[in-house]
Amino acid sequence: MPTTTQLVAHVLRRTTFGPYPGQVEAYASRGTARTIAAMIGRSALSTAHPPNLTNDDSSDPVKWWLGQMASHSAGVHEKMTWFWHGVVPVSHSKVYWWQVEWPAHKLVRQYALGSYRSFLQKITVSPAMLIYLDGSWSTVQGPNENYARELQELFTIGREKVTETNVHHGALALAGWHTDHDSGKAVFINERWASLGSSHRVSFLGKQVYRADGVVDAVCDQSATARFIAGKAWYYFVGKKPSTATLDRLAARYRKSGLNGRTLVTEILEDPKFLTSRFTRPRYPVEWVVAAMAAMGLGSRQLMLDTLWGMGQVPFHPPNVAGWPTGDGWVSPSLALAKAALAVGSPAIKAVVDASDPVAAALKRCSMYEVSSQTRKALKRVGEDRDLKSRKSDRARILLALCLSSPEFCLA
Amino acid sequence: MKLIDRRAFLELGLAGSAGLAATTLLPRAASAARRPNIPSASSVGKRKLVVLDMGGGNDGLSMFPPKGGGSTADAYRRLRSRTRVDPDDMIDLAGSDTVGMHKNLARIKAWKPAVVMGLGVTKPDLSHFEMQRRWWSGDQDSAHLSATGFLGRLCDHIGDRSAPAVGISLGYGPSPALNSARVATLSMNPYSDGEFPRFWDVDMDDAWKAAWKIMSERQSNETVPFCSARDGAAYARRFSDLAKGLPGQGGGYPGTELGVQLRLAARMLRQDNGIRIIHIPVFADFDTHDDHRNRHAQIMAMLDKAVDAFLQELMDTGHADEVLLATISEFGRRVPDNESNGLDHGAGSFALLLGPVNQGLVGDYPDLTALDRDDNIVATVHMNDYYATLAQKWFGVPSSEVISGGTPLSGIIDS
Repeated sequence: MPTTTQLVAHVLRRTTFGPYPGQVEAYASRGTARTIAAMIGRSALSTAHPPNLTNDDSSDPVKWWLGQMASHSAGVHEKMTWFWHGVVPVSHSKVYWWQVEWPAHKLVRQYALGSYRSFLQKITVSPAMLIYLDGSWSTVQGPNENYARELQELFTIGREKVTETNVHHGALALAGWHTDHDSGKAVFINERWASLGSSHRVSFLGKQVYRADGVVDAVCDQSATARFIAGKAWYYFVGKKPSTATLDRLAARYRKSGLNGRTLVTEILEDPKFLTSRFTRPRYPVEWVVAAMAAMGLGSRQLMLDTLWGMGQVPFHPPNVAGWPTGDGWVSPSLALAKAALAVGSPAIKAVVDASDPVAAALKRCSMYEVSSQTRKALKRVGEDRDLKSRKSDRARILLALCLSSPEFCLA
Repeated sequence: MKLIDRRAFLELGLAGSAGLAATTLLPRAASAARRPNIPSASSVGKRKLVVLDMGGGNDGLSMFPPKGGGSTADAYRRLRSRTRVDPDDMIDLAGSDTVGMHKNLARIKAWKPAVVMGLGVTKPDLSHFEMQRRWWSGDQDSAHLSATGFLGRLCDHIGDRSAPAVGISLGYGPSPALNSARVATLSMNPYSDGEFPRFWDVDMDDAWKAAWKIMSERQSNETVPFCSARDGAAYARRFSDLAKGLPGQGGGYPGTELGVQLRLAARMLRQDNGIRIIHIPVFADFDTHDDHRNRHAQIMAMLDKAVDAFLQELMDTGHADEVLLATISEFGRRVPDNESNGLDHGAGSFALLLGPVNQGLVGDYPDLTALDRDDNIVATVHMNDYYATLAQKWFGVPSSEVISGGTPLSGIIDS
């Protein structure tokens, strides 16, 4: 039976970008249910002090976001903000205009635990998305199909349910928008280009729809949408695919709630399978880097960013419209090298240097309370190294680097 | 779909002074004037393969546009009034009256490529992700779900089990194309040196490496994620020795990401270290839903310079007979253009084969007067045939061992 401390460490790995040193110990006495409730209940972090948005060559907004993730006040809301970025991404590499990407990012934050339908309504005609997926300047006469396809395939109903007719009809109804290059505002031109007109509805997913909001409502009305999103969220928090029965139940509740994010997360985290599914998926690079930097006591956002580039996962820079892949690829050899490159820079943490049992102190520093015998054996090898016996600081550095490179720290 | 533009990363100095917009570092005399003598292929056991994976959907019609007065050329000019390649932007290709080549591929032309026309699948899907999955796994019509990738299966057949890596993807994470069952395949960040990070103090480094070795030993009673994590650590350690022994960097490469990837690939291919297949994801935005003409032309110029430098290095170092370079892309673009001066997702595309190949056009040019119901070309050469060619004609592996139902294309590679 796992201890409460082990379970609380698991809850914090999955619901935050930590745990940061000391957090597990602080929550252990509350137990898992209250820790889960506390993380769900934590309020959204403030966006009152936005990053500098005037220089599109700068990485300020990326660093700002990494700072939010690393905040000791971050909870499930921040974790869901990252989740949605992977589901409905907008990429700075293509849009290259922070002034319009920032409002889109604020939409993600606004609806991270709210209505997915409302979020999609707004993001669909947001200047950033119109640029990212080429809705801008798409017309009825020559519709651009990119958004109509990805909206269905990747954001709502899933590939199995997509037909070319619905892609084409969706693109017709979505047409007519563009992003004004001076104001950065989305504009709907109701004349020459858009004009299917109110009497010219298109047949889409079995309904007669009119304009972008009609398309979004139609996809959100599909039961496949609740199921598709629920499956993704389940994998994110549990690290395994849900059983059919679990997915049926979860999708039904999510749909009944009006695609409410808070309901979805609460259902998942309160499922008994959540607590038993420890170390079932990799810690994704952003999760690993934020947690590792906290354990090392380092705060350089530039170092975090450099490391994330090398690992292939940078906020605001998804590889494509499908977001980042999931699965064991994130514990590949090249990722092991990238992690070790950061880990060998571990400083000598006083609590580890001075400890009578430095191995235990290093593990505690990394919130590692569930450790395999093989990993213990490796740490013991360093703890008992004769050459390092009188070099407590150096020994502490190696121990911390090893903890950060261990399977236990590289998995969530 | 949009692939990462690592401009910001490049500017951090991690990649030296390289930037995506940088020009050729060491410009040479115009390559198009050269007429390299391509050697005949080495013995099968020494052969290696480089695959340029042009994710996003590379438009073959813009690489090799139809020309002249035929009905296909007429249809091309009519359907692509906004995005077509005009005669001024074309160069001649292998003496053809009906097929041209984009002028930004002039260097590649000098290397006498074989061009596979109308390459696609029998039942196309228009999703990037579905079609990439099929191209990576070698599953033409979504009928043979397999845990391994086509290139991974090839590695299994030709590779040495004791090699640190038989197949390598030079990207930012493992490629499903290289999923193998018998031999090691892995990915390497093209900007890293592949060497295991170290502590500079010798005693510290010894302790660190000894402990890392213990930590990377797989335990029989552990779960799959634990085994994967330990394997990742173990392979990183083994590969480090190979990486340390690579020969130095060649010159003449452009400062683009593809230039960096191909420069590293050449280092890996210039010695016998067990590596046989290198997969290179091309991080350019081939998904030209808008402004296709300019964007695609720029990508072609980028491709041209990097590939030219790579082939030149292999030639200069005496390895040109051992390496075949082949391109793949999940699909081409829609034939009629859209109102954004762009091209939506299409079906078949064209592929380039470079190295010890017979120059020429392979297969039939797609008939642009007979498009499918989605206005896309009907493939004239199929993925399975293309892959069968790489397996059987290049590596001597019976195609049925690695791909279902393909027939090798004749005439490209002299066995």
